[in-house]
Amino acid sequence: MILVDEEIKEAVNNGEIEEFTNFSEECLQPASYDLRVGEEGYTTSAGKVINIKNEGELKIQPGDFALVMTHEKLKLRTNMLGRFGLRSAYARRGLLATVGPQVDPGFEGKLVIGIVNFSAQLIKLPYLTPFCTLEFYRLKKSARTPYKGPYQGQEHLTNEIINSIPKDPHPLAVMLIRQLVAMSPSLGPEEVPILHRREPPKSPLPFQQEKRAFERIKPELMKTNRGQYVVVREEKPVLFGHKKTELAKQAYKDFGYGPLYIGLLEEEPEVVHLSTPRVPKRMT
Amino acid sequence: MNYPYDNNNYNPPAPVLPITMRVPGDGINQITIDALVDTGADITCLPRALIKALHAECASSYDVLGINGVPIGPADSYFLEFEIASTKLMSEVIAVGDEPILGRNLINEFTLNLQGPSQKLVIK
Repeated sequence: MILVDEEIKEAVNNGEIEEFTNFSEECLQPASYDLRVGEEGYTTSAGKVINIKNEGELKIQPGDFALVMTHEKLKLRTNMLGRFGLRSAYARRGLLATVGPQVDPGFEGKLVIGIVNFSAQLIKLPYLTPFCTLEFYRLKKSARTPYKGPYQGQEHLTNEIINSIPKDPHPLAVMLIRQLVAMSPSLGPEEVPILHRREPPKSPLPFQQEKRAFERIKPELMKTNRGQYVVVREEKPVLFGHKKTELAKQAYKDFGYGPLYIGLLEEEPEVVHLSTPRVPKRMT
Repeated sequence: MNYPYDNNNYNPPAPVLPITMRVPGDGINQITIDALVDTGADITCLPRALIKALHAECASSYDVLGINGVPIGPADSYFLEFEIASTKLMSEVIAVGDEPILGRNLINEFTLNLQGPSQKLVIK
């Protein structure tokens, strides 16, 4: 039986999933859990273990074979089994996960996912981005011989794991992809990574509404708070202060991250200067 | 910490810093990108596509002036959490252009040493 979101949460709480380090409810999906990019990764083009936390992301070049260790660590009871695959947003971009058929009952450790970039674009996996999703299966009986293989207890990308993959696992595909990239100047690196879907901003309307409310109440507020910033939320002034960033911090702390407007109570609008001229590269 | 100048996208080479940014309180989504260190910019600027990818909410607005005070137009601003050279801080950015620019509102938080001949930026 595949567990749904509430059952996964219950299984974590009641110890059916014996250990789930770094578990986050935000990563629960209707019937799976999104695993996040952990601290360590490896790509064949880099040829070394990358500290993704320090670097901020893992860069997977076209044709690369990558290993990504998950942020989460698991310990499954002998009556639990896991199956996982790449999130569709990445699969559509041309990544292909090379994973084993299952996470065995009794497995303990972080998961390592092999990924091949079959696209012609550089694909970046930012640290802590959900990139795989894991289904949990509750079995009718406990396995008689739970997992005791070589990856039991793994928490780091060891030489043994890295040496288990060939240096160029798909030579023909890699060669073709790299030649295509070299031939096409339009196939440059992709700069904007895919990110985990959050609740999208409601619409630009609330911000515009708050901004209009600020303009409406500004003359009255200037009589008492000239020179200060004001936070307008739900068309009402809720906070005043002289330091805009501190005010923003306070507003998000008090009301959560959402639509608001922070305006300066002065006659003139706030102005910023971008004064550095740019010379087209070809002229230098 | 040393950061090499970018000589691929800028000629002459220019100081850039890797900046990691996220929406306040968002522990999952973040983007890391190199930004040009530009003391001529009052405020940090990011391409709209990056801000959209982070799902950031507008918080304020500015009138933007370019070289010699020529108006560029209005721009919405956003507050984001930044991580630069292992320092975390919140700051305001505007969505303008297609080039990440680190403006003085963030530059002034750091002691920067520009070592032009060796093309590296050092943060103490």
